[in-house]
Amino acid sequence: MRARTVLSLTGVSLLLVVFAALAVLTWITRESAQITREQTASQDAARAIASLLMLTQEYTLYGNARPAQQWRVRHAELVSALQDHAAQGLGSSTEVRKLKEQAVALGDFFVRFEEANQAPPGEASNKRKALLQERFLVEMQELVELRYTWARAVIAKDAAQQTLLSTMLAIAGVVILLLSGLTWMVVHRQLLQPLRKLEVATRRGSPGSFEEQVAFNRANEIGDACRAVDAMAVRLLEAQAQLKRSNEDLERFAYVASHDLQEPLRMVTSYGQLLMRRHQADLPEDAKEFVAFMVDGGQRAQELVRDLLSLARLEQRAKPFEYVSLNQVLDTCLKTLSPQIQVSQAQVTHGELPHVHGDFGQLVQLLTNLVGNALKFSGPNRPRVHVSATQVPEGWQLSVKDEGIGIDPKFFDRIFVMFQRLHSRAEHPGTGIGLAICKRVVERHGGRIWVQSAPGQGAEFFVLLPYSANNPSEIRLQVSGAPVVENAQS
Amino acid sequence: MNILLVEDNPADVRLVSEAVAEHRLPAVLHWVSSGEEALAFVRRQGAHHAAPVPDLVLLDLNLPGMHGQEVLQALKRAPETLHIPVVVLSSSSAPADVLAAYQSHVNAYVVKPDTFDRFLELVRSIEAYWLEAVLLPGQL
Repeated sequence: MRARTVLSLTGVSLLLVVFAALAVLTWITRESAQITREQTASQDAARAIASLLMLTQEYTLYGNARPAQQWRVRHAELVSALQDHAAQGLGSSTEVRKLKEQAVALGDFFVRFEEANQAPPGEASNKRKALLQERFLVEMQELVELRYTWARAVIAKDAAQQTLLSTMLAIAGVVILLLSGLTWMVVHRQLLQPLRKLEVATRRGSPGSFEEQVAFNRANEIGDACRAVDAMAVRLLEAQAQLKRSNEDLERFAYVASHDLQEPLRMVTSYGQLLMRRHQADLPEDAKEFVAFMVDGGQRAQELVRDLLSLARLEQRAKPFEYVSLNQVLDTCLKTLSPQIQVSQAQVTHGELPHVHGDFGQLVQLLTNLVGNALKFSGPNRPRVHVSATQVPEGWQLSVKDEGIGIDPKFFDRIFVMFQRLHSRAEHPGTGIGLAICKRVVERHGGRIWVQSAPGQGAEFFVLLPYSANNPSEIRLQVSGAPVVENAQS
Repeated sequence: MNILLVEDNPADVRLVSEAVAEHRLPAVLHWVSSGEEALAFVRRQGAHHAAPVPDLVLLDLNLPGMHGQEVLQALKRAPETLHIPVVVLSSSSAPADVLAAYQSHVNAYVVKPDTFDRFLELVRSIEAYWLEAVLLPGQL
């Protein structure tokens, strides 16, 4: 069932229950007011009956006219009140009717009692008087009893009313509790639980985790959302697979193309050189120049193909990350660069370098390219290069600083783009792929590479290598407290 | 001294023969252009019934039809040819190719140099080692 339907149904049910409770409460209030009125009436009747009793006694004792007069007034009041009461039809009609009939009958007796009282004294009349008095008291007693019966009926009615009220309140409470519980259950099972599941599913950060589906198939809003997320994950996986395929195709293409390109290029340069070797004496000057251009072009193309190949291999030869000593990385790359360092008499210095989480071969390639560039673009002076590392909140920041020709800031973005060169080949040979390789290596390590420089002011390349995502604290511990010692090495 | 060159590219064959000629080595270069022919040569089958046993095989990997790797395996599996030293001369430096060749018991794996000067040096060093420095079974 859809959550909207469940919530609407629950709302309507709650409203119905509240309305019913209000209706019953109103009815009970009205009934209570009536019972109160009846109680008052019953109490008034009791007071009237009591005063009738007093007046009867007074009349019996003194036999004068005043109590009799008062008795009649009181009696008339009582009968009229009872008559009104019966006419209004307020509850307990039987009891009231009986009481009224008794009261009316009592009036007749009083008349006879009065007549007997006014008769001249004599034995017969005295006897009749005593008899009537006795009878009158019995009737009076009956009136009191009937009044009690009425009062008890009213009390019973009041008690019944109270019971009804409590029962009603209890039922309403239970129904509201049940409805709330049901609503909570529905909200919990249909909304909160699947929402949590959805959250967990979407939070799985790693790209490989999209295979797991949320798989919540209820026909409600959350079900819709879960199905949408699942569909999105499927599309993402498809796109990911497609991207992977095309990436692999591209790498294979680059690999094959560069291999097959190398063959004919080798022929061009080799035979060009062979021609010069064998027939240098027979060739005119311009022919020799043409062949030199041909050989040079072939060699440049070979260099280009070799760099392309190394770019393609960057992915193919990528190794899982391990703890790598950057000191060792730098040593390896300085060994590779030692011919250039010797020729240019460069001075390469470095600070204390940390251990990082990475691919040794790729990091060697990174530093070799950066230090190699620093040597290459040194200008007329003796090259001086300094490699150092500083700890920043995100990880380790490496720096390769030179005092060479520098780079105009407007070219900062272009230098990391493949085949972008800032200088003519005559000035500085190269294919313009080194920094593109650096960028890819750094990106594979989850880091950033950037440069600070100005023309003629030297250049400083920065590489941010973030702490290992798996266990940042371990790496932090391993490197903390390592003093930065300046080591000079040339 | 007999060298068998297994190479489908005539330009490469010429390059090797020029290098051999430059060094004026006392070696005879025999050339076959496919793997099948190479095996026929060492087994003295068909047209090669009078062929000499080569002292050294220079083998290209990227051959039409039978791949150089298969030729290498065939040579190193047969008792009558496994003693012949085989040097792979390939343009591929792919780790998979290099490893597979050594796992098939190649005697040396050499990547073809880019320039003629270095090619000369390479052929010179191969010959210096395999034809002069070492003692081969064919010389016994």
